[in-house]
Amino acid sequence: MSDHGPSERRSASVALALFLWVVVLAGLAYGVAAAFTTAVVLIGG
Amino acid sequence: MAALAFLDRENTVAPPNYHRWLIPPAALAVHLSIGQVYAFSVFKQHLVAHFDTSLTPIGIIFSIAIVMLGLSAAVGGTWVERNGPRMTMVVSALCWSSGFGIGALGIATDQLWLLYLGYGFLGGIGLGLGYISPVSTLIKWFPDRPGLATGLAIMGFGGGALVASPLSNSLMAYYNGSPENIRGDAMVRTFVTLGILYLVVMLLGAFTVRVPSADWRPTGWSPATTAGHALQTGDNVSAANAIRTPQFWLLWTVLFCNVTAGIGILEQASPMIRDFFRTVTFEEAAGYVGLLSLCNMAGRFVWSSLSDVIGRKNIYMLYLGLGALLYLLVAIAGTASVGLFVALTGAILSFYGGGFATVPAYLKDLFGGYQVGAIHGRLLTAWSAAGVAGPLIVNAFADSGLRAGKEGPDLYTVSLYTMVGVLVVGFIANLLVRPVHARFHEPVPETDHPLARVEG
Repeated sequence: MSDHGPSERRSASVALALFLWVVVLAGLAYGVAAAFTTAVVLIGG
Repeated sequence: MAALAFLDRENTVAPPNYHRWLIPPAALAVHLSIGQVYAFSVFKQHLVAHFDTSLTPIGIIFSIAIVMLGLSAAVGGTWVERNGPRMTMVVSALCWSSGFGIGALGIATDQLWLLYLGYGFLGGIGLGLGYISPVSTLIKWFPDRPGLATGLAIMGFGGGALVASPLSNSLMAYYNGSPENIRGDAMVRTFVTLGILYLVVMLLGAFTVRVPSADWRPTGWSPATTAGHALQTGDNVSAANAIRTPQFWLLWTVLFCNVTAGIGILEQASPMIRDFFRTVTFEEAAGYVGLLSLCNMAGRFVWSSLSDVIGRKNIYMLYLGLGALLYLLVAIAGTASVGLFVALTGAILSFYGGGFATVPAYLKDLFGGYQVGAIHGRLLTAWSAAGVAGPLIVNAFADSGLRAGKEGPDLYTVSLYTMVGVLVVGFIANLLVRPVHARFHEPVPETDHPLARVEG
């Protein structure tokens, strides 16, 4: 059904994995920034 | 059915020269999503008001989820090994997101039991399968750095609450039009949004994950390199045999003690700091809880990665031995200053996270990579048991202290000394860990043995 070759499938896999790296790192950065802001600002006075 | 073949283990084998650093985001995507469970408390007060009930019936939702996490990881571990990470991640994603959907239905129709069934039971199965799904895959991709690999994945579970907590509060405030007096329909929309978001992120992880081919090795690494180290084996032990070894039950005790001690602080963090220091406000206490989550997450990555260098047994000496000393310091000098209290408890929580993240690599050292995911699943029953024991110890001693007329830090003195004892028990259990006896090893044809292959 699909006529995509192995190299195209491989490129798509790599692109998806790199995109997911960006998504998870952005998520972690958001969470860490939110916790850091709340904790340090409050405890630091 | 042909479309489902895409999920089979044999269809997830990576092509030659596939870069192994393309795999960790798949594990992180799943663990960041299911780590939301640690942020469940952000819904508690709103659910109490919506259902016009007390904290206990709402707390049961979380308890069911954690119990199901341990049970599904223990029971489903072998299925996970057989069917591979992609199939497991898809099932986990469907269970976890359906849990939010059914939970939303429960809020919309005022049926609390639907939250037990959805978020608790079904979501809990998604938690257990999702937690163990990437572990053995990552260990196979990083046989030279298993601590770093599992630390990276399990760090995501600690980070999930850091993301979910502010995100859930923002979503509820957005749908409600105000952060105060959150209505049921705002919670329904928040649950549905989170369910869809986690489904997408977890499916992206499932489509990204790959297993290495059987003969794949990192460049310049051979099994003989690790098999030469103390406790690290080039042989394999099945999950069925692993639970017959004393090593499994010693590690079960180690994990149980480490988690019991950590949960004791984690569960009581907010009231505890306010009992120690009367000047700390509710908002500052909430900030302190966020800081503990950061320590928990950082410990998962930092300590687990360090275990690749200093060894698994030595790092648990640190978690349990130094952990006991730090607990002792909290009991003796915790009231000296807020900064000292935060530093001591933050270090303890980093050891708590480190203990979770390092244990799959410890299991791999002792039992090999053959069924490490299934063995890890069985070991997680220690988590369920500690989840009951830890809060029980702290709450029971605090309640009896209150009845005896104690107040402030005195409420926690007995608990803190008890935790020192619990950690010492774990320290001794870790000291007793020795290499697994050869009678438990899987039979290996002489020519297929890793050492035979390398050494000729």
